[in-house]
Amino acid sequence: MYDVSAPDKSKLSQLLSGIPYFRGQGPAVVAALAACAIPRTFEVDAIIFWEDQPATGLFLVEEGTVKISRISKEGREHIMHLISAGDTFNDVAALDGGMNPATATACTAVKVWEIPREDLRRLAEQYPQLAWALVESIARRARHLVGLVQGLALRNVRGRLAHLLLSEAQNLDSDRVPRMLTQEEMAARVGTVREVVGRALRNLANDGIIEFDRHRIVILDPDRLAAAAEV
Amino acid sequence: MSLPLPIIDPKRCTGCHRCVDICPTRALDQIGGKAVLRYPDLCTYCTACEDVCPTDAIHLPFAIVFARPA
Repeated sequence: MYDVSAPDKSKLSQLLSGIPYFRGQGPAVVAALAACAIPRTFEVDAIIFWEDQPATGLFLVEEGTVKISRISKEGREHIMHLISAGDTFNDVAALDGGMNPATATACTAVKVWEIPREDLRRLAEQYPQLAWALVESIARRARHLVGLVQGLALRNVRGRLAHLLLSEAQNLDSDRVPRMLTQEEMAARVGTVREVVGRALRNLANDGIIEFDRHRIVILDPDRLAAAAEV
Repeated sequence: MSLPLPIIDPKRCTGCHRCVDICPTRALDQIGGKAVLRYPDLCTYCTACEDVCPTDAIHLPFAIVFARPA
């Protein structure tokens, strides 16, 4: 899907230079990546790709937030990652050529660049430093997934929710992906259902750890919330 | 900046009237067979409508913040 309002390609070299594993790659690599990248834009809630469909390439986010999730047959969603500007997604499928491991959905209006798998492979063979950077990226993804597995296996819902509340408040403090979350979204992030999240929030409020201030969940006691989140 | 309000998805709303009945401030009403937030100023964000909706048509977005010391 090509779009006439797709982002300006002249910005791409600057964007690529800012992405952690393209940083320090040198202008030749950045120029080669920019030459083969395809601009795409998506409206809010649009599906960028579905899980278990053939992967087409590596995606870079220029603008907006992308949700990476798995959806069960019953329609229950588990959100694994929220990708913001300057980050990449679908690294795994772009490198191993398998199916997309998850569904990518635009949380906001999104501008992305897609680097087709064959181009990525050709450039990785041509530039060893790029290949190593891709390996490091996969290692970071694996580390993130280990954290997710640890949370699901060793924390109860209250602990996972406490961990989510702390990380979201820290994001809001640092202006990194500041978002408002519904209880449904919280449930999808911590691997449970909305009713359980509602009960867990009320329990935390009854314990004096958080309070509801209309549309804000205010963390009153970060130390006790961190203790609840500890494994 | 205006305060956030409950989000009602008309495609999911079946018009069952439970949220309208349970709203403690009567902020919700039903128009054209669908729930609508008729009086947004009355909404206290109590989440009763979200809790009672059988089709997950109502969601209330929250900002998660640290309390600031005075």
